[in-house]
Amino acid sequence: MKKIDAYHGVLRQVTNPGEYVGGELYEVQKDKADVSVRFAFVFPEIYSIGMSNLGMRILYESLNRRPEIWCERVFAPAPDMREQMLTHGIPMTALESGDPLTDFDIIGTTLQYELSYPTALSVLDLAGIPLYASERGEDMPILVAGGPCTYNPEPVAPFYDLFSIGEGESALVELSLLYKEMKEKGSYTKAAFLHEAAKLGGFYVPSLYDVSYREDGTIKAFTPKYDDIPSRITKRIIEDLDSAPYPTSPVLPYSETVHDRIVLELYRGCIRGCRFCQAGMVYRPIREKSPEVLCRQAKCLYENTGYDEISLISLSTSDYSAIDELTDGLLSWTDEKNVSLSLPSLRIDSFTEELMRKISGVRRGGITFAPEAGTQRMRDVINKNVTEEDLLRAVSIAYSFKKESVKLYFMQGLPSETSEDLDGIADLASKAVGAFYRLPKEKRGRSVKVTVSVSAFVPKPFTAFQWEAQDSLSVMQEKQRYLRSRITDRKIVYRWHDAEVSRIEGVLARGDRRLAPALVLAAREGMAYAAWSEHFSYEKWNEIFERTDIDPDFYACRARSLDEVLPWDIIDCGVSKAYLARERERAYAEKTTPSCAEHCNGCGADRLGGKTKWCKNQ
Amino acid sequence: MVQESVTEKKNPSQAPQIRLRLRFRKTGRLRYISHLDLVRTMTKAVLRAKLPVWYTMGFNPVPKMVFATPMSVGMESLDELVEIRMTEKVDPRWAIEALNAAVPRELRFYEAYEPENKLTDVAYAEYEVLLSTELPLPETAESIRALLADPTLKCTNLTHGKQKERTVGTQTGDAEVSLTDDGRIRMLLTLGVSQGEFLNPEYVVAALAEHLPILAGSPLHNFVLTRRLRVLNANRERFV
Repeated sequence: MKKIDAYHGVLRQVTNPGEYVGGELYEVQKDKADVSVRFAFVFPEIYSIGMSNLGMRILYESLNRRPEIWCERVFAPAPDMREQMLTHGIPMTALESGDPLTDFDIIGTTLQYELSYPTALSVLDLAGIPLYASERGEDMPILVAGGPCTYNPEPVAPFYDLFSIGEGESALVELSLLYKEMKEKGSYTKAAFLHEAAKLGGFYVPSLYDVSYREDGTIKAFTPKYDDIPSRITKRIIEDLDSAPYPTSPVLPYSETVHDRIVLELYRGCIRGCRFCQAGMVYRPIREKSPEVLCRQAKCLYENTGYDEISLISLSTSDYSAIDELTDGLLSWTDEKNVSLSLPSLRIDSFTEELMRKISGVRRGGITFAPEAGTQRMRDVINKNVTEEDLLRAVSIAYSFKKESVKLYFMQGLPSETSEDLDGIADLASKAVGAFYRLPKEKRGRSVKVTVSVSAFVPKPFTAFQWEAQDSLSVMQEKQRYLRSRITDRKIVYRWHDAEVSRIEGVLARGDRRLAPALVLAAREGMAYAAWSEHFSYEKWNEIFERTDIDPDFYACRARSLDEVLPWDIIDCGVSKAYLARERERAYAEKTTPSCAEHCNGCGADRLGGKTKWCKNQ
Repeated sequence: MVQESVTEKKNPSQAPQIRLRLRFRKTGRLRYISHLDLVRTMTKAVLRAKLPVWYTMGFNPVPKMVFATPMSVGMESLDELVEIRMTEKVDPRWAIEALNAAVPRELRFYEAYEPENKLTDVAYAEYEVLLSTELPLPETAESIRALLADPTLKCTNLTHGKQKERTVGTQTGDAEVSLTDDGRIRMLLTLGVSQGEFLNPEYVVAALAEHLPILAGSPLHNFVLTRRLRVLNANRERFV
């Protein structure tokens, strides 16, 4: 309590002081003297965003279940608090104990989004921790990073001692216990620890691999420095999600956060093989939780939290094989308690009246679908496997439940795109409006609004499109202007993502460790919080690339050849490069690939094991 | 009392409404949560505690909760009052236990009863204001004492909200000012909380700051901690 009193004068001057002090219900407090490993979990975003993250809740639970480990939360301070910290020399602290980050044994950072790299580094700066791993001595904590971005860890490789690749529930516990054991035995040095950790499986220690380059700037080879560490790091998975730790008493924020509701994770992985989608590949193999376990966890979460909404999440919720059993089980008590269900990721082709009835308790807002592309040809290229008919049927169901607002997600700049595909986006939106007026008046609401939200395609590692060139900035912007001119219907609202942001994302997503100096400058020169548009400056990023001698086109706009060594080749995410290359070929042939439920396409992820009903090879 | 039919449960407005008044403390880190967030927390807490709470009718049923005196962000309180309507009589001791199990430790309920008077009968509150300052202590305390004794003491420059003039001196005549063992200036103030009379202790501090540079230096060393000690009735006795 003393610590907080010391900062009281500062806390009184910032907008949301409650976000810097902890003290929420279900926060985990332990006695420092009773634990062997102190773990700080950094979410490089402000509290209200970070507290909504399911992955963080799961890992907080997994680590804190062990009596010898105390995991605490750290979020990036909002700009006003950051200012105060810099002015008054207040170090970055963890919420539970209020101790500075330098007091911790291990600092784990989750990297969810490429543009959060500078924020993650600025948190270390505020903590007084040298950014480069090579500049940190024995007295500094071990820095580990994980999360979806670390499937290509290379752009941030020089900063972290190691990366946890794949699902972290048991991996981070093992890492902490290795630390404890080596400390207790007296065999701990940072070098010895990292060498041992590299042998645990699923941990990438970048300092133990030499990277050589060819004259054209592409990578020649990754070479391990020891014989006893893996030449490629295979990601970790949890084999049985039913028995994996799931937080039924998550820390409950006082203030409103982005997703203030119960979250149930139905399964991991995805049976669809959308060719632009990284999540659909890197979370394979598909492992479902049983409806019994989910129903039990939902009830428990309701009693512990009092939330009035349950969100059923996964990459494509309606693909869950027991969706009816689960929703029936939940509805048997949720209605009576005024608890509503929400299914945020619904596929157009599996959206039914029955499902709509079950979620129509959701009071607010419209409904969102993601056709992703405007023409059937382009939807075949990306393997979306939905038709115009599917979409019009789905929106008609929504309209018949008096929904007056429908949101449609699209992408522009997909490989092989022509102006016809862009026209298709405008046409499809018009047809979605038309579907409303085709319904008899008594079967629909009063008016309709179709929002068309178009993002610029960013090629991502571990997708069939990982070798593709991204559109240049001017082409992206030209396409946005073109599409705007094609949408004239007043019932249609056209929204587009900032192409400049997509461009920087494109550079970072497929970057390598030579980007590191640019990220340091970005962190120190105001590009932290770049995920918030008002802090983003494209000019500044370009200036930084220039000063650090980086050609952004090399990373964003260059088509790679199939035999190029890619920065993320050091990682084995389960899905094989050969499968991705086959999918790329099928994309250009405009051939679709059936889902895992229909046919095993041999992606390779099944060799990682896991309780799955879809992988036929097991 | 037992709920007799399903209809009654679905239509809570027809159930009886019994007021339950609860006293609680909000201290430590909880001082930084806003009144709005406190209301949200309490709404969820009564649900978690499974109290037989009466819900308002309407599209979005919520428990009916009335707070005596909203607190500003940053203030601790040892004596807060909330009234929640129940659909049946509850054992006060059980209600306290159930609620305390459903809220963080720095929020503590310690008294519960069916009230006979109204929360609007709360007229005054007693505050402890602890001032940490780099100014010389005995002299500053003496200046503060003199300023508080002046009935024309005004606050024109508020730290939060709009600039407006407010006379505070009429309510600070009987303030006590002393020095604490750990080198802070302690003020004891009794200020109005009823409609029209409400005076936030922060206004008093702001009024003082217009005459003395008490908060001028680094906020690490110059700051004010405010704590509500008791709520009082019109006769300045503890409100029950």
